[in-house]
Amino acid sequence: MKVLGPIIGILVYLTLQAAVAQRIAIGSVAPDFVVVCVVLFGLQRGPILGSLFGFVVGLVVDLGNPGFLGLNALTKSVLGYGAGRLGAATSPGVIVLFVVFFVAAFAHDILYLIVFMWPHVGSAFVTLFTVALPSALYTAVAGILVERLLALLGARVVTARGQTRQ
Amino acid sequence: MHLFEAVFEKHRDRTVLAILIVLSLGLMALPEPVQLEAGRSALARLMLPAQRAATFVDDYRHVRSENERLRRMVATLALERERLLQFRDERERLRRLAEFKEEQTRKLVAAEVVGRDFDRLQANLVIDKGSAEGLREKMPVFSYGGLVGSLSRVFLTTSWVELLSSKNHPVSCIDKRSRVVGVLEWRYRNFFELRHVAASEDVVAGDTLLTSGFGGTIPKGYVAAIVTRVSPASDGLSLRIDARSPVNFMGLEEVFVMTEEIPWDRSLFYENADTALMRDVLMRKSRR
Repeated sequence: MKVLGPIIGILVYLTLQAAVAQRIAIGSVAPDFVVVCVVLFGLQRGPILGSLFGFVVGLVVDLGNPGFLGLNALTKSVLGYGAGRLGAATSPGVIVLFVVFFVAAFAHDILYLIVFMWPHVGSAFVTLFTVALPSALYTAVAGILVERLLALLGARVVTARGQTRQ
Repeated sequence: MHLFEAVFEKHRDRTVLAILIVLSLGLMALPEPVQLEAGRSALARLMLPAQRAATFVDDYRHVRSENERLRRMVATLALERERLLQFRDERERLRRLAEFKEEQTRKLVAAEVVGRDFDRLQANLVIDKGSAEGLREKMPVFSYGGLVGSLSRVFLTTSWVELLSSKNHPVSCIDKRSRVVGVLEWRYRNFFELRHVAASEDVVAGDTLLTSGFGGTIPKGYVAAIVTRVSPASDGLSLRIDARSPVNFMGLEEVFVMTEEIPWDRSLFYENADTALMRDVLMRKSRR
């Protein structure tokens, strides 16, 4: 059961990403439900499980995306680790969660674009401000909505420190 | 060994992260053809049902009206085709008289979409045909609606299609009516912009943009987009031309890869079986 939960979680968020994200996109700005998934998991389970989960999710995304095997695995491992560290240090109020989602999504895209565009990092700047920044805001809003929905369904968002929010 | 254990105990989380980063970098450093083609294709096949489920409701809702529309279209096309065949023969005779090069058409290889990426920042499809079917990199890919993209990687049994809805895939296009040439660049979803068109040029909303054939990769004369809005650009020297592709890039299930050139009379469109099928559709329609 301990393994089944994360697997179902991955499938649900990947389906959300594949089926919903592009439909609710505003222009080229779409929320990243996979980032939301990794951040929530990292917050709950800490840096070790967070980074492992991020690696697995990233690898799944990479497997469906021919081009750069390992790129998403790398960015999402770091994301899961960062969320896990934050989870040990913070209590997840709505505003804090919003900031966490925003910073996580933006940092993820920065890392992604740097590795993806390397060594022509300069050309990533336009994408960074026209796509990554607004997408990070959208992801933060989507993250809060998902978290609230989970809370309504009875799930508890627990930080690695053990503080809960319902 | 004790030192390693001590470090691991003290910095377990960082050690795990470091191992994962090294693993990720190792995966990135793998030679591309070795990048687990079989595993990725298998996983892509696993992902497909989830994506098909997501589009099932939409498909079901539209299938009846689409069928009706397609029957009407087939009937119209069958009549049109008969006329065009006569024109084609006449044109070929005239071209031979004028000693022009004989015109050719392209062979189409049908392929099923078996994977799609979940990545917001890139746009690719995986199809179930590869070099074993004669596919090569940069071959153009089409759907019923028009141009879809081109092959970016070809393996033995699968290929990756870089979609037109990608920042890395501008296409030279020509206005079907006025013959104005520009470069079609993706903006978002299936919306595009035709760039590098001077303010004095004649482009209006509703014009069809066809591939120009410049560059030699994508052949000339295939639908790429329809112009939706034309307005003066901020620089005052050029036009801002918005266009929309008739292709639903998110809902593609089968595509056609254009391979080698073949003479018109060897084309699939002119096979006897095809003619029989069209007659059958027409007869059924007239019986209704």
